[in-house]
Amino acid sequence: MSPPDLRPGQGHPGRVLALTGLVVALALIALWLSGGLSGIAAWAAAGQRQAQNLMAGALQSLRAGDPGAAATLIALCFGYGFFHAAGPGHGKLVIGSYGYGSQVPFGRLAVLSVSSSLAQAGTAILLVWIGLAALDLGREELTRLSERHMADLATVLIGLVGLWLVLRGARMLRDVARPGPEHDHHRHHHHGKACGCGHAHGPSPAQIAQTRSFRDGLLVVMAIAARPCTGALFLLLLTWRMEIFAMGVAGTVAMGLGTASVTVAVAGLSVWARRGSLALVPRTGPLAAAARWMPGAMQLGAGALIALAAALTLA
Amino acid sequence: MNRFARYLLAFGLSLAPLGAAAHPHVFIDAGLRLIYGEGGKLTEVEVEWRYDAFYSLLILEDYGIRPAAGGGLSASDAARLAGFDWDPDPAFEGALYLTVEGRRVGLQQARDFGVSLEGGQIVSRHRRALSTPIPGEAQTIIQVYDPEFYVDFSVPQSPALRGRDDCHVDLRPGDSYAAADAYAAALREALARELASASLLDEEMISVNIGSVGAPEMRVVCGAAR
Repeated sequence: MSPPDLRPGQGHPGRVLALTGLVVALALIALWLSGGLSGIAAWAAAGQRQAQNLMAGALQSLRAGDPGAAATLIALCFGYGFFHAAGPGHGKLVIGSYGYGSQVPFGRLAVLSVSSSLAQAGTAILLVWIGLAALDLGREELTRLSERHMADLATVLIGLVGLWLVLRGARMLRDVARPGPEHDHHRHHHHGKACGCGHAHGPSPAQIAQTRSFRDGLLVVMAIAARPCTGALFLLLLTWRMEIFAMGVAGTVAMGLGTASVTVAVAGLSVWARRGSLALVPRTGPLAAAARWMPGAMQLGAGALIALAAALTLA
Repeated sequence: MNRFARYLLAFGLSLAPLGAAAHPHVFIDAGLRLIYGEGGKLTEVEVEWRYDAFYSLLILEDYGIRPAAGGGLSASDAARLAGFDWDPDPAFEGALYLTVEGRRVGLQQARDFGVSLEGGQIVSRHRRALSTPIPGEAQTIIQVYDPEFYVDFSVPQSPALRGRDDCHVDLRPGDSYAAADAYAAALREALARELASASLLDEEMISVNIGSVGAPEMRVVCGAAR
């Protein structure tokens, strides 16, 4: 599943499709702010509750020696991850804002979404394994460590993702405002507010779209992975005590993939909405100059949003 | 603070619930029994918490208890588990909130702990005495919720009564849709206040107790006051 390739500059139908993405994203945000999505949250909680009870049954069948229960458990874990992610969560906030604000292509963002979910599963596995095997921690100490300290660490990292986007957005705006050495040849002619001379002055969107860095991806993955899912910790603790830890590890990875199924969708929507926002700017006429400011402004705005949300969570 | 900054802050606030522990991880069906004593006053509440099967299994394994499939707990295991879910820290309110005429009713520490296993689900029990007994004729609002929403409480059945039979109980089962609605409503109000030029930071911050909004609620009143 990949959304159509919609670059704002590809003619009329592409532009309409891109704008639709923006409309869909705005409608979802409006629904959410007005409480219209609470039904989905309630549905997700009910689904999680059901998956949780069925997982208990599958675990007991496994212990009773029913090998078929392994596949059942894995499938339930995937469902648990899906329902868990359908509710509110920090992963979707980070992926969504990063996808909207930066110039990351959908494919790369989808890979990032899956990697973050799997890394999050890995954090849970490592935490339980080290906590139980090496440190001999109890259940309450482990969950407290995760709920309090690692959650705070994750929030700080999310804040850093936000500040990073703000910084880069601000830098892009500065570069647009101040002609760089690569367009020295334009210095001699004067740009009025309605210049409309029809050729590119700042870095073109295509050039900006090249801006991508490994550091970005690493920071995004770390911010999401730093806070393991408590449900996964429960499963791992449980299977450790039941001496079927390998099943717990497999189930945790399945939970991660279930979560990824939702974050990949969020990734697609955020990229689609970003293209819609860029398509808002007309390619000719007096407003065309705004195209140079848009990417930087969007990046700055999305970054400020995550940084603010992180700051308020810590406060 | 200029208008743009205020909008940004308001929007940021709307994201705040994303960060905190907004997911429940434990599901409990709670049952209550109201005990009326001398003078027909409400003196005590008996509480029963029925845990979801997954969390039950986790607790059993954590204590190294492995009952036969569908079996119950041995007396010694039940004794070991008794009170496992009670935190004696006074800040822990035991997810039980009584209000009379808008005022919170004090509850004492839990006692008489008991635990059993029914169909793979742990059922724990305890009693909470009221610091001051309440006349049954006063309308009492009883809520069951975890303020952190780590535990999602449901109250499937109306509370049982002992000591009086002239009481009316109105059970409003939890409305899990309500929490987000309430938050959105609070946000809209805050934005409206904001546009009326009050500063958000000077006023109290938007605060919605997500756990309590939409929590199961019971209204109990006895005798002639019905």
